[in-house]
Amino acid sequence: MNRRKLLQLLGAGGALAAAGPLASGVVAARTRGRVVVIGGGFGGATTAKYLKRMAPGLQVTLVEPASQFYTCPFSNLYLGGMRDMQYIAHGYDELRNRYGVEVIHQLAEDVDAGSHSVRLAGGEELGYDRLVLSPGIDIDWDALEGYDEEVAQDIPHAWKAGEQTRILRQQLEAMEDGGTFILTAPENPFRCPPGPYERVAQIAHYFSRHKPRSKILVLDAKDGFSKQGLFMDGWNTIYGDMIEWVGRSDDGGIVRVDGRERAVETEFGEIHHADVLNVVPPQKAGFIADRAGVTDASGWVPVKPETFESREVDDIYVVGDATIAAPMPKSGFCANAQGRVVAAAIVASLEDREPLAPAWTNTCYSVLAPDYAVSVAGVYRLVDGEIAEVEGSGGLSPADADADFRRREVEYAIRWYNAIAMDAWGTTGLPRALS
Amino acid sequence: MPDSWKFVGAVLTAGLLFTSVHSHAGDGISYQQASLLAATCFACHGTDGRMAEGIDPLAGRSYQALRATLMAFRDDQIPNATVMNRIAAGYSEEEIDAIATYFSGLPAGRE
Repeated sequence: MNRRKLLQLLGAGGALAAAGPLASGVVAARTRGRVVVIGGGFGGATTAKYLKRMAPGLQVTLVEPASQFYTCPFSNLYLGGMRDMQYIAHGYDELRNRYGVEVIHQLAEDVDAGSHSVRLAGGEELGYDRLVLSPGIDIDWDALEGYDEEVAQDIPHAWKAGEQTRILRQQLEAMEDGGTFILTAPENPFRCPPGPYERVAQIAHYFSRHKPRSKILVLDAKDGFSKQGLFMDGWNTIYGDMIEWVGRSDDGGIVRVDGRERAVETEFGEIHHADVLNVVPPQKAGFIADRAGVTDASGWVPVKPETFESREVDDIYVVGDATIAAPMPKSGFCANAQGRVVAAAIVASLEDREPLAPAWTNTCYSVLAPDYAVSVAGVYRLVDGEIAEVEGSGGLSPADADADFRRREVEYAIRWYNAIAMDAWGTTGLPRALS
Repeated sequence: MPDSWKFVGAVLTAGLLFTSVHSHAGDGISYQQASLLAATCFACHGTDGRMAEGIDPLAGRSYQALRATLMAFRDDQIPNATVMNRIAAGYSEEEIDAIATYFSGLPAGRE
């Protein structure tokens, strides 16, 4: 259906209701249309919710195979023993019951952009006027020799939270004191740029309490990383020399994983054996983005910056880690921010209006210990048609901050998690009585 | 009450920061646009800036206090700020005004 036909169907020759704000109260009750959202993570859940808040007359269907979504944010805290797994799990009751989103727990298998339809694994076809893809990442299984889905059962990536994270923790618990944990970090771009470095701090926290003679080695395909100075100061201050980081120039890049030996080989042929090995592998947009024809040769999705509509295919919008949105990082925070902007852009397009000027923010906390966190923030706007950081804003926690500052950033990290989880799924993950 | 709010309260009482006359968001930024700007706060402060377990609720606070606090963060005048000084620095005075107007117009209360 094209826009004109849709508008005729809506009876839009007269006056469409004024579009609503993001708050409840004034809403565009008369805006009609069907929007299918694929993926129930930060980006997809947020988009579905705000579509219904802005235009309750829309038919919004969320397609997500899992009945519980495990967040990557705070999954490192689970590894460190600071948060239970059940408290990073979120369901879809609020979207269903409070906002009237139809939630289908199936895999979306294919998209036919021509006929505007999505095929589910069960064979059912869902038609759409606008489609939102929030597919997150897939591991690029072709990118690293020796690392495939089977090997990943024993040498976890734990870069999609849930079962993989559990495997890694069980291995850490089974490891003897004095063992070596190796994490390999990929080249940019990848999901959660500070994630690998928070992870080793959390594992150091666990080791320092339970296995204090153990060592941690980070083999990095890069010569620098997010919040590097803050991380290295923090590692050193809290954990002494437990964590060693090797950048690419010092032969930190790996070219092969040996699943049987639990080892990795570097570019210059050195073999590193681990007691527990965590490969954070190269990644790409979730597969449904490929099926929809919105990815480019990089494996990620180019989008129109103002609306996050695909540059390749009309009426398909993409949010979150799958997109090429630099300088915005691939973070849950950004996916959430993009989700609201996309919801507003879709409502505008269905009402045949110009989109609002987008505004996004990001704040990434990394929790290195129960009393020590650091952050990076960014404020983004459209400048000359491209996404740009607002000059003079954002940036890192100060290098010389005192202990109280670092402790307060832990408190804010926890409160941030509660707020964003509540915003996306309507649950903090924690029982509310305990808050 | 967090230190930052106490600080702003004190400053407001002293009348130091209160240099601007209340102007509505309609001056240049539409209500819809203001709501999208204000939504950039939701990830930490909760949907509609209204969540006890989030970071300081914003909904239903007075326009004056919100505007003064945000401007003080923006000018890095709040002692011991962690991240809000970095974030507020990315917003124009007009945007801050629109955001303060938006949240002050929402009823307070729990999400």
